[in-house]
Amino acid sequence: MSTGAVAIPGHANLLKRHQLQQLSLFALVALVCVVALLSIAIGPVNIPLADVLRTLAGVAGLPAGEVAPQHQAVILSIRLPRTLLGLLVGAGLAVAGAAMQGLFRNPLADPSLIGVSAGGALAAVSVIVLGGTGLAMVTDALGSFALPLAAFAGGLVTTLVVYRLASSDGRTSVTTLLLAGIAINALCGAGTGLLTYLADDQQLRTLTFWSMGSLSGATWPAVGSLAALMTPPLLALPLLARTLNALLLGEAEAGHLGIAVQRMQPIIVALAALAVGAAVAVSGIIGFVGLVVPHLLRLAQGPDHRFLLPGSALLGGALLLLADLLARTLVTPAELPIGILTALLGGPFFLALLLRWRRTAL
Amino acid sequence: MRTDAPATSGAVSHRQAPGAKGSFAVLDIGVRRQGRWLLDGVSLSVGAGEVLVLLGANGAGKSTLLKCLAGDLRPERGQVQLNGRALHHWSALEAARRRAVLPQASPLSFPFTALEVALMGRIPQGGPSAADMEIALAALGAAEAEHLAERRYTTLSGGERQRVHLGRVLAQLWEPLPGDEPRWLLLDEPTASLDLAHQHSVLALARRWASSGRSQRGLGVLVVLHDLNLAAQYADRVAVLKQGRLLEQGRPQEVLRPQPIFDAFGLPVRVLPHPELDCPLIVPRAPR
Repeated sequence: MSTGAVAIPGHANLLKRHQLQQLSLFALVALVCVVALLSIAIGPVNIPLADVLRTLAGVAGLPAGEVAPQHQAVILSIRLPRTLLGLLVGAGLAVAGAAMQGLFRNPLADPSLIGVSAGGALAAVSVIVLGGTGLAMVTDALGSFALPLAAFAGGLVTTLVVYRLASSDGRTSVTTLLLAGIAINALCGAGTGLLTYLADDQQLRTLTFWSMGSLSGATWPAVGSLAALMTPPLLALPLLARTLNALLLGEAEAGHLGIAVQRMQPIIVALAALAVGAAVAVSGIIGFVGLVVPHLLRLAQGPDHRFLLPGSALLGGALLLLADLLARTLVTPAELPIGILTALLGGPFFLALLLRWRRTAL
Repeated sequence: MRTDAPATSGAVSHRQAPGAKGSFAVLDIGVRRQGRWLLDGVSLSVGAGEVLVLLGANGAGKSTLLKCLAGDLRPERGQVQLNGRALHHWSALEAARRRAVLPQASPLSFPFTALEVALMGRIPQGGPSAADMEIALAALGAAEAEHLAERRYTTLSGGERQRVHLGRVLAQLWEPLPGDEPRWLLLDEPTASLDLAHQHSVLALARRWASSGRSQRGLGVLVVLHDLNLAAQYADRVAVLKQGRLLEQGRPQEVLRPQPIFDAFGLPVRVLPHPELDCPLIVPRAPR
């Protein structure tokens, strides 16, 4: 019972795991860099890696060599904003997924499955279709933030509704959670469909990508507003890692450990909804990123949020960029909607998870 | 047969006045749910260094009382006092450094290792440092779960999980507080999923921590139990709840008599002197 128990293997193993977690974070940073370079280099026009590095050096204000002007133009006006957009969207969705799974104490809580993305999309579509009419004054005043803020509000409302429906007495029912998700997805889908029916031709073109998800709307202003909205959740959620760890024990148990549960839960909900809303506003509904990424990391390194949240941001960004790379190169010169790609990959993954989860009956 | 029980037992001298500085107490509390009083005018106090066992039939209000002490429920009437100050005036963190709660079961369904679960007990102290890790391991050792340290929580049996959580709450209360301020351990049916040997070792542990403890005044321990003989053997005092009211409280020899037990549980029993220990032995009588 003495506290001087240093030579016990459990202790050494946990320290080793922490070192491994830190190493894998470095590895993930490297992965993000590699994938980002690939994403900038590969496309209808393939750009030599040297030109990519020179252009990036020039952007960073470093002395850069000569670059073919059309290569530079492609990088600066198309590939670079798209890459940054992909990184931010992937990071935001994965971190929001990990945070929601912690909040709901359930590894199956993905923002797209439980209807948060759909709620955000419905709100954003409302802005697009009704924005020219009664809401004109509001949307004009908010400018490029109107869409992301609306999506944030939509995501927030649906998260709250799902949370209230699925939780009672500090326990969350998986069945209720997923069923509530189905109902909310259906409702929001119907609302979006109705608005689509009302939309004119030009609006219809804008709307198409909501239903399928795409990064093709990548412009510098979009990157700017996304970065502004994504910064709070990406910075703050990893700082709440210990709170999320404690919440996994149960709401009452977290309270007994000194966590101000009543105050922290709404903050986590709001941050996660902000990340999902901002992502949905620029790229539509891209499913399963928030499910697959944290799950892979948990399999590799355990569920500790102090590693899981930063790891999710990095792996989420890298995976979404890879998916986008596939989406725009598989059928060139056309482009697959990335949401279809992630659903094709994520759907079977989710089913496998569900089967395993039922077998182990956790 | 139902008797109108007195709200408090007059025969018993309180070790401490309820609400005193060195106690964890509920003062005349009432909790109402859907028009029914789950607790009605209950006053009870745990003293530093004692093991108080809470007994009662299903639905008597044991869990509700524990929730009030844990701060999960704020009673409609009366007050909960922790070290002489109303519980809701302590911040969640301040309260967490003074009392730990072992739940009946936790909804944890993520594959933390047992050591990581025990380490969560160190969150009130500022989080997992190297020293916290040693404390968590030692606490697992105290809960006889040291060999589970590297196992995934999700692969453990119910009893093993319970011992890991016991390690977690022990880690939470590991060091004495400045000025030797008393600390409190609330155990909600800690023996429910344990085998016979571990039932005794958990209560013996509670006993040890209370009487000698890790500081001079030791811990105050409140345990909810169903087994009257475990209560008789390990409790300094027992309190019996019936339908939201306090039926009896006092030393096991005083309270664990056939009549109060019949009143509380509706079960006819015989009470014998324990052949080896200085405590009563309760044996159910043959049904007539």
